[in-house]
Amino acid sequence: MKILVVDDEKDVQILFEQRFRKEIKDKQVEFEFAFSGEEALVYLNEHEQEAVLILSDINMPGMSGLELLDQIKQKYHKPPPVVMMITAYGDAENFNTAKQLGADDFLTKPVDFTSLKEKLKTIH
Amino acid sequence: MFITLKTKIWLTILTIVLLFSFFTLYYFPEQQGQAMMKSYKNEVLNYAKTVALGVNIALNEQNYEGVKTAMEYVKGAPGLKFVSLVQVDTLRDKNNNPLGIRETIFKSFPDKYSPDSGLVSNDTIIIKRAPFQTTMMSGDIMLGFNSDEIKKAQWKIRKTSLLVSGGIMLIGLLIGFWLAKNISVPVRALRDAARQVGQGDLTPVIKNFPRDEIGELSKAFNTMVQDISKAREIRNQNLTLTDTNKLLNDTLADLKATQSQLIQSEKMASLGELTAGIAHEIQNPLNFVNNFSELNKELLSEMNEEIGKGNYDEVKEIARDVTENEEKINHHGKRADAIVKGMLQHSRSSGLKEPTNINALADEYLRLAYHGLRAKDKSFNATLKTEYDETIGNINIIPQDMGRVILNLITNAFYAVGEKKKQQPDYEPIVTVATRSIKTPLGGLGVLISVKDNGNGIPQNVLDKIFQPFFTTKPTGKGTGLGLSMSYDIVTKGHGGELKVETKEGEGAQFIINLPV
Repeated sequence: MKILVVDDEKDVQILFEQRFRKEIKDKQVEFEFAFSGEEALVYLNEHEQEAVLILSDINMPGMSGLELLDQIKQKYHKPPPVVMMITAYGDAENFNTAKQLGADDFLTKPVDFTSLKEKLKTIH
Repeated sequence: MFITLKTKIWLTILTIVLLFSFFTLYYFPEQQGQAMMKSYKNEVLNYAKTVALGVNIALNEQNYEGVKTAMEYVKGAPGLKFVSLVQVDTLRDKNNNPLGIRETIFKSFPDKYSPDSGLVSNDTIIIKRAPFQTTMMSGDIMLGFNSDEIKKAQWKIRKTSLLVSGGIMLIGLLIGFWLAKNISVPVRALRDAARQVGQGDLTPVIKNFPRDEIGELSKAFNTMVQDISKAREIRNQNLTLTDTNKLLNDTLADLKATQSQLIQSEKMASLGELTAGIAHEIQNPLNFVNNFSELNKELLSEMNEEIGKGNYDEVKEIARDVTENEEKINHHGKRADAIVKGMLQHSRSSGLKEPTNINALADEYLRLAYHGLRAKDKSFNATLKTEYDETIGNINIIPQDMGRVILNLITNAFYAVGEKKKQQPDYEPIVTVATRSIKTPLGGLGVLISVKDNGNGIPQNVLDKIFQPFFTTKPTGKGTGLGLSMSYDIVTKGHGGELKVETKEGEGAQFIINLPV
């Protein structure tokens, strides 16, 4: 399973790689990282249909996570991949907007990796 | 002993009246009576002498009718009681030596009256004698005059004196009343007025003062009271002025306090704008700290397992990861620490210039402002461009104050592009923050910091007001109107720099800070 993580914090890469190092070792998951919405779109355009799950931060400079979500769900990729939104602000407005735009799930920071792993199993 | 002025006046008048009365009632009538008596006696004597002369002539001529006529000469005189011819014979012995004198009444008028020849003056009668001497007979003419007339005249004088002294008493009384009225009344009025003034009442003004020293005193008193009144008025005015001054000072102090409160409010307001950004900024490093430390816990237990297995290559690898993660924890901890410190510094300016990396400062506040706004307004987005001149290095500024200026300019730029986005959905907002090393017109080195937006620009009619305190184009509650005014003060007064604006309506605005280095 290929997962694209979109976040402007670069240390997220090390965090995910270490958190999922067993799964990576066992080749259960494969991670790709994009550090902005724009970068994510570029990747998606180049590697169409490769990523089955996108984990995206909402609050990013430039293109926000919600805009990215909109683009993915409305304009690209059929069938669209599963998109989970991650944000530092677990408020109703973001949640509703994300739901409206077609987000499949919603995670709040700090990410609970145990429950994320559980969720990944159900998708798999 | 207290004797009133009135009493003194009355005592004086009484003394004068009594002295005068004594004079008129006693001394003057007595003297007059005596004088009258004396002249009366002289008159009687003259009568006697005249009669004696007539008798002398008549006897010499042996004209007895003439003697009678001479004696009757006085018959008409008022008060006449009698006139007698006293024959005086000298008795002699045979040797012709005088033995004594024999007096006999020879003739009297009125005929029937025959007094004793030795009669002398007493209270009721005045007796005067005048001698005559002829060859035939010698003797005295003796006149007896009634003193009733004199007594009557004296009594009349006493009566007149009594009347006069009564009149004088009356006049004295009148003078007394007049004096009392003219001296005592104004003096008492003066005394009462002085008492009132002494008790602090400055209204009494003496009216109807007499034309004398007391009147002048009253006038002087009036003038004095007026002067005191004026002086008091001036003093009161001074007091009022002092009060007003105090009030003004208090108001000034209040204004200063309000001003500093407003400045504090503006700081807090800008801090409020930052809060959401700060929360975001602080949440991320904390998440990393938590995640990496949990990760390390897992890694360390894995490490223990590998040590048990004796798989030391694996152990080394895990140890390397743990160390790397610890560095991450440390890094993000410091990041959170710096954000909290920055937040505290933002509201509490040290007021001291310190070497500061202006690029880092501008970038920090750009991020804070952006995340702050994004947290409040999810729909907001803008392309942020940064053009930092890396050759600048550290410059001496008050970082909190200059940070506040940059934050204010960026917040304004975001607001401007946000407004334009609402009007034109297709519009692409761009905010550019740039720094540049420059040469000042005087040849010194300077730094230029600019914040540029492509919003609607600033209309010409508000352009000259934007740096005025409390001027704002934002809706009520959205802006204090102090941001640019404070920024202007910080740049010009605090740093000796310039804050300028360049704008084109519809195309955007650029705020430029020029700082000397």
